[in-house]
Amino acid sequence: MAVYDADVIVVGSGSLGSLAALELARAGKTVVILEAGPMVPDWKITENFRTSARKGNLNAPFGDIPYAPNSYTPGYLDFDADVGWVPGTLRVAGGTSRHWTGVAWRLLPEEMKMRTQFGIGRDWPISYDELEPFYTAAEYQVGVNGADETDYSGLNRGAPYPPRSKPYPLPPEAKPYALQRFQMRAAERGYRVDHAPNVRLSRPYAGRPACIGNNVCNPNCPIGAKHSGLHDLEAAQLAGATLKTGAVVDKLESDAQGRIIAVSFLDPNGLRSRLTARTYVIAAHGFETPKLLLMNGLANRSGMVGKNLMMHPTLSMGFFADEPLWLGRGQYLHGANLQHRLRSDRSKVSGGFYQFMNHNAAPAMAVALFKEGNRIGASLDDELRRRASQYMAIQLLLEDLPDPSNSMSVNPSFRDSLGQPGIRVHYRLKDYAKSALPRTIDDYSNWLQAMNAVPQELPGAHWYNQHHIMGTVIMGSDPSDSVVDKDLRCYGHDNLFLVTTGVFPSVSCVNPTLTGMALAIRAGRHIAKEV
Amino acid sequence: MRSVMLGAALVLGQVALPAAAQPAGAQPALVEQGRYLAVAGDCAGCHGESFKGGEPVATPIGAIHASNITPDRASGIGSWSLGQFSDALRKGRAPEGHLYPAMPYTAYTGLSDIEVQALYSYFMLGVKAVSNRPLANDLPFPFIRAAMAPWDLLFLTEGKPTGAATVHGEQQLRGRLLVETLGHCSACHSPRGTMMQERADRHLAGAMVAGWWAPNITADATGIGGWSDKKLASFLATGHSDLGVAAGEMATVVSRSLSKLTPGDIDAIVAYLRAVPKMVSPKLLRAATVTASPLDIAAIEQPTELSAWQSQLGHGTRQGDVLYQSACASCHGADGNGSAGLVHPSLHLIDSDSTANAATLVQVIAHGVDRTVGARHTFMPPFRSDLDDGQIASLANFVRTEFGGVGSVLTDADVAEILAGKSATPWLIRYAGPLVIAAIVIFVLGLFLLSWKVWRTFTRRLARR
Repeated sequence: MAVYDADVIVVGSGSLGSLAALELARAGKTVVILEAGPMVPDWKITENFRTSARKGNLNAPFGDIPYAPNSYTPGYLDFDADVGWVPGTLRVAGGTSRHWTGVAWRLLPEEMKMRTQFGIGRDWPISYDELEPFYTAAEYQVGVNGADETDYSGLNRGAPYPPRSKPYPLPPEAKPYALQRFQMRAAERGYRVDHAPNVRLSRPYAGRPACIGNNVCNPNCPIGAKHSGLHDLEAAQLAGATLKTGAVVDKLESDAQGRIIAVSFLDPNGLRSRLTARTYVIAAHGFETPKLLLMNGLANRSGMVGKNLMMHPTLSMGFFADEPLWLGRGQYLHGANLQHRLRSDRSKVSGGFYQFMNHNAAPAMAVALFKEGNRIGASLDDELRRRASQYMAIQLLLEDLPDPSNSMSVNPSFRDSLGQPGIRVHYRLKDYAKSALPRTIDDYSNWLQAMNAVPQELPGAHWYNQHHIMGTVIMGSDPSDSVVDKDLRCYGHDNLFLVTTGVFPSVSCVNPTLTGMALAIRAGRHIAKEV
Repeated sequence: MRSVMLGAALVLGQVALPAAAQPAGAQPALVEQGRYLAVAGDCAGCHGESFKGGEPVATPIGAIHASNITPDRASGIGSWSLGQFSDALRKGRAPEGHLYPAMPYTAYTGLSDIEVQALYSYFMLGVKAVSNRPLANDLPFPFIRAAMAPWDLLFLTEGKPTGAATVHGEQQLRGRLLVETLGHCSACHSPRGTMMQERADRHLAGAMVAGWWAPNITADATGIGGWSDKKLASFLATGHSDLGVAAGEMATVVSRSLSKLTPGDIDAIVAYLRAVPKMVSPKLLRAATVTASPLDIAAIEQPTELSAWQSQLGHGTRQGDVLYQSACASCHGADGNGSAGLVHPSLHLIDSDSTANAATLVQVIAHGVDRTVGARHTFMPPFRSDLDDGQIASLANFVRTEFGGVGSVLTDADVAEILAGKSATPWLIRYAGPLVIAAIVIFVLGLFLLSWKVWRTFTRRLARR
């Protein structure tokens, strides 16, 4: 009988990998988590953020590690795209959710059946009802505050939607003043502001304190009131999982039947080690997971590894209202307008939702004022106060459709300190998202009038995207066009599972993390039954 | 007609059954009083919320497993008579054998007959029977149950809790019952003597318990002398005040017991604590007596061999001020003043002999605060996994000197010892095993010598003849 180093090896210590590991450890399995980056406590990230001159760079406090470069490390990510933002991914214990915004949406049942419902995109091989218990488990694990009475389809049908088996574990935060004012003034034009579920705690929960309004939801919460993958990693370790940091996995060994027989990794000095397990989970997010498969020529009979990249095309807009709104009080994203999310024309026009950016505008306004350069002293202070208090920024997140021409691949022209390659992204905006622009301009105009506002940033001047990486190891029931099956098992490799938002076959317009967590918990419980 | 008769029989049966099962002396009318006394006595503290026992109670001689005190006849106390229950509470003698003084019978001995009966009524009639056999205690030789009898001769005064003070008036009398008898406050707040007895000469003067400092709660200035009645009452009822907060075991005492007492009883506790003889705590090292080593600029300015990313992500700093600003200031403020309304306490409070004990600060940094009183959950996260012993020492030194103004020279080893939670064990207790063996050896040797002498004398006498 073969002797293994562990029942399961999980590559990647982020929230998703850690939640899968947690479920496995709870089921009594031996689990080893391999993390390329180092362990850095939250207080150190707080210090680095405070002393950083690059406040807008979410990756900056996590450093550029030569043996584990991140997506902002110069040269590592070759981003060939007609949308504006390079997704900020991290390689550190706790993963990219060390700096996530914390919005915890569920998908709608309809959004998991895009082909059936709207004749476009792809269907998930599992239904919302099958995923629902795991959404609930994820919400209770990480502590989501949400409004139970809300119809999250945006259709305002008077009943909560989508269906939930249990109420949110925590009540929502009070609506910030700015959103109350906006709601009051935009309501007569038919606009509603709903609450965006969030992992910022409204009371102590699961070993984390309640938010006290430090107002630094990004990159990290200085007191841990906002969830991060570090909390899930600590929970997994407490349940018995073993963490190894500085373990850069580059090789997966397989036998003739396609079963993975070992994982091989380098330490920061290039020293190689090898570990064996019954089952292997790759949970290295939407870029590193396909990169590892491509480097090893695995799971790619469909040719879909790295393809179908979806990043939520985004329009950004802003205006100066005629009154001080003082955005920046309350959770980083509190308000959402969901009225375009589930419209009947979704087969033609991308579903989208507006998020009202609840951050302090002062830093950005200060930069603009300094550039204008014609004010000093009290005049500068007054003008900064006026602009910062009256500015409202809004983003429209749009649904992306899976398209193999949007992709990521291995970039051999970059080499890190261990000789490992970089990542190349190729992404072009599709008409599906672009077709949402006209009605966005209508909405923006209505809001300008409602708030008697001076326009600033106009929607459509630039296209952006989110830090959401999806579709790159797509899930489906047909092995000829999918990388993993409904249990996240790789086609062709019985004991290889991928736990990442990269498996999403359709992505809605909402932030993907909670859905990824639900999948991770589901995978963890499923794998525990097998090993 | 038959069904009516059957119904009547059932009703009769229902009425008759509890009466038959009711142990003599247990009275339904006393159940509620007994429930309140059990809360004030914090029985659940050791025996568990359901009273089924099992939780290990750490003592310097080893873990003692609290017994099942539910009315289960086989594994609990369901078969005990009122007299047996009374002897256990007030004399430390249970039907199975002598109790260890982890059960505070030296305090409960102050209970009146009616109070014992009320508690008995509650445990027999108001508590659900649970079948559970806690682990047997695994105590080293010579701490056998029988050894407790002579201990009682020395340290148990039946009817008078250890250290109980003279009182005047009803309120102080009630307070004494709550503090000395039910609350058994001295179990933690009084230091222990050479045989683990509470030291009556240092009653409530503060003691180390499992690495935490249970402070001086007498009315001396080094105790609670500076607290107003109102603040003290608020602290006891909620665990929170602007002079200090309850953490560690005290947080659970507030949560389980004190917060559930009537305001009148809280006031009585305060009144009694004022009447307890004042004890002076040992003076803390004041900041003025410590010469801070001057900042070595050269060492700081020295170029490090670490690369930029290594110095950016390295988190081994021993600079207490840096650690404070990064890990603590978000809640307690850059100036240590705490938050508005002092939800997050001011750290300038860490300045007196009762609040600035190093152990308390180290414990709170490491383990945080987790206290639920009613619907209010107060929580400070633990930093044990984020900071090593040396960092906790530096941080505690910074907080105590910078905000508290008391001297602080804690080392890594101090922190490790505090967090190991080992209370100092009296010499006599620590070496009790060898001592008793030595005593037996000496006794046997003595016997041998004696018998040899007797034999020799006898044979000599024979020889003389």
